[in-house]
Amino acid sequence: MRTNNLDAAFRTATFAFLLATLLAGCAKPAPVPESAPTESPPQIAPATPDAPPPAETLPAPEDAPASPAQPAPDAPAPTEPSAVPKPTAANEPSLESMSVATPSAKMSVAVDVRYSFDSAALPGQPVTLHLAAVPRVSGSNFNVSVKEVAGVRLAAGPLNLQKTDGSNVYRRQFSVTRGTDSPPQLRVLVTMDYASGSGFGFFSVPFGSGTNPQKEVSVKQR
Amino acid sequence: MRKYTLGLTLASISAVLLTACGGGGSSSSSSSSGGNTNTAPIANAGSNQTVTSGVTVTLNGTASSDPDGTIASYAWTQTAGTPTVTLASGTTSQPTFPAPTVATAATLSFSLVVTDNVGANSPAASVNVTVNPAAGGNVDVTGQVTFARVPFGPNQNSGLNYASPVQQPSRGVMVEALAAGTTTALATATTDNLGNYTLTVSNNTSITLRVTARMRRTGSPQWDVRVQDGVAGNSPYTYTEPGSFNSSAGSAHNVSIPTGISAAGVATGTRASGPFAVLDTIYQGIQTILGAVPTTSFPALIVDWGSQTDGTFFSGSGTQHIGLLAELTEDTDEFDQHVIAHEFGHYIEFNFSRADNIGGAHGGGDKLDPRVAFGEGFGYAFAAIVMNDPVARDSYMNGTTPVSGRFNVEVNPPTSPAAAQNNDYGCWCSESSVWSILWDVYDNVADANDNLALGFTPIWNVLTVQQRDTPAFTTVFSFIAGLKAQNSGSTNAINTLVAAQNIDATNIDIYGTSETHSATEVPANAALPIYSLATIGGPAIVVHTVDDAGHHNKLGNRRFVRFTLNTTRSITITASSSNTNADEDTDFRVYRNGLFVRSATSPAAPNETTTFSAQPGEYLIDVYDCANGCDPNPDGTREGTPGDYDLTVTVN
Repeated sequence: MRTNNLDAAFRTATFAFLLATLLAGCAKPAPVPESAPTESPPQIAPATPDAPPPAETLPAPEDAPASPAQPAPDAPAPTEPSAVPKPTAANEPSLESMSVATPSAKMSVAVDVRYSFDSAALPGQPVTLHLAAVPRVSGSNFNVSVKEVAGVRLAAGPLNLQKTDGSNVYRRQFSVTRGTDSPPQLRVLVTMDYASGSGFGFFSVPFGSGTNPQKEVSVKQR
Repeated sequence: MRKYTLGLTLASISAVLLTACGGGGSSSSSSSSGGNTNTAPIANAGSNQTVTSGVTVTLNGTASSDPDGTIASYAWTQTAGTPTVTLASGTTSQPTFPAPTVATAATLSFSLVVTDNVGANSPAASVNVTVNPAAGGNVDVTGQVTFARVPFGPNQNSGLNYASPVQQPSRGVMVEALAAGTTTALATATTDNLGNYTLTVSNNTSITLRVTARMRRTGSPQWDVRVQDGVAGNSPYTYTEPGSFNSSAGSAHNVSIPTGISAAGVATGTRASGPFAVLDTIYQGIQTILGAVPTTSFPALIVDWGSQTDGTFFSGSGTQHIGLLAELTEDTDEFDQHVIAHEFGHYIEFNFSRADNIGGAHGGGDKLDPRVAFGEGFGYAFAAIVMNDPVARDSYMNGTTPVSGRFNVEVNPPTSPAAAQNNDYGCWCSESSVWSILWDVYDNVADANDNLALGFTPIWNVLTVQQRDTPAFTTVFSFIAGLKAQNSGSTNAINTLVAAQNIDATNIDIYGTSETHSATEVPANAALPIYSLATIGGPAIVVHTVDDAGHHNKLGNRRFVRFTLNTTRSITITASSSNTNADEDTDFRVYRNGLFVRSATSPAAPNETTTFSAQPGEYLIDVYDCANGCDPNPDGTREGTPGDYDLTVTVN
């Protein structure tokens, strides 16, 4: 079974770092450039250009306080700002209760992505999407982002980590507001470098599930 | 409806009986159905015709009749003459075809069989169509077909460089000369290995060129591969060159198929070159196989690229097909040659070898079920061999930036986990070990632990003999055992290469019986022995299962038990788990000599039992607790509570 081996000192340090980060507002991502892509100079990782340098110790492990959702700089103001949920560690769902996001069929990253909405994602009503990335192997240049699409308003930037450990769980919360014309699902991009290469995976997070996962008689996929 | 079906059945049986007994001598005789007599219909294929190349010919079956009913359907077939033509509306009373270009008069023969409203067939009627050359003679129209390939940028993480597409020959595809302003094909040709074509058409004819995303060859070797949308329709994509020209005018008539994508990676119109890029990678894959066996007959293959969103995959169920992603803003695979060749590798393994790979999610560094490790590792080794390029790349968009994932199959994962720092180290459970071994068997560049340079043919020979017929599951063990058996002169070099991936090569057998290496991610008793040996009527076998490396297809999720049966008898297999959760579900599947026999996969059943009449052979049991060994449900929930469990298996 996967276990969380973080000790209390590390959790305290992580909490302090997250608090400082929040106060400084540096969790906000830089705007994604909209200009035509050109061949860039060599990159260490396929991360969004001009993104803030990833923090060395920014993991949001299972029991650490989570950072509240931050509006993206170029995102329109929510219709009802006061309704934007302010997630806290207390309302983090357990990993076991979260749904499993489906990756692309082909070779992906060795990461499980789980998700949960804190309520039904109805049009015009912001909800909190809880994402948990669970690497199956250690790696570096780890990035988790939600693809921006028309009809969905997102608040909070990607998760960027220089290193990941195969024994930890990395969490991120996003405030999500569906429009009436939103697609039926969100797409989560996870990228990671590993010993012999660099991988990526797009994961599907359907709006219609994950609010209250229940065990059901399954349709087995073999 | 049921009554009608019964009538059809009786009519069919009666017809068969009459034919078998010699009573009647042809299907034109009367038959009875429920006490009523039905008279077979009469086909009339119309009068013989003489036409000139280029005109549209209409066959005429309207004079067909049925004395006691109606004509329900028409079936036309070309029975003689060359070239073979394609009938439009071939199941109607009046199909058409363009009279082909011929150098001398040619007679084409067709037969018509009609079926009446109760399912009785007529005897065949025939008709001849004589095609004369056009009055002005013929001319060869020649040229080259090229498609625009979007290459990767120069840096290791670069994505597709849409600003700089390159034209490449479109090899082995169908080219047609259409009568200008119509879809009537006057002549058809296939491009050669340089993309060149020659179409023989009538002089002074206004024509338009159309290229179809289909590679088809009959005879030996043969293949039929087409690229289609799959959701919007089942016809292959086509590209029609704008404008028309006189067949007697000018010299080379080249066709340049554009990307339809801007420098910024945005579609500006039809993404025309995509299907041809896909086909050309498969063309290279076919040539690789022909290099080993020049007479290979490839089963038909369809590539769905366009609207399907199920991912990039190969499916052998139903019509064999490869699905490829086509989402420009996220992940599109038409220019990702290693990805396409990898999926084609699954097709090759499925058709010419045996693929026990259970599929499922996997990523670099994963410790996998050894069946998955071999199948996926072979796929990428095969892709590298096809491309003769060890660096596999897969493009995608990160926001609006084209980037790529990558790995190099020439890089051998380190032996020691500690040295690896990340988890990607040598293991029989690692796809990267499999692809590095296979690549080193193939390539002629010596490196550490690699002094082999056997090329592809020895790999093919193992795939199509030992790996196809192994009574074990298809893993690196069965492959290496076969490779050593076929290449005894290279035993030491194979041992050295394989041992560097933490695999006991010296004493290897198809079951990995001597294997002592495991992976640090899971307890040793959840990985070894790879197969636990059971005896019929013997003690229960207990194997350990975990989810430490992930679920469904990862190392330790599923365990293998095997036994030998020498005589035909009834066999009862049971399995249970130490999992005491209410949602516990133990399942297993049984194989004989490597082929699936039966499964015991009742939903949410803590114990499974199956009894069957068993033939002699080597039996394999793939047993698992669904909490560890099943994929998530479609709604993202997972069945059961994953954990560390003991599975108990009995064979009686």
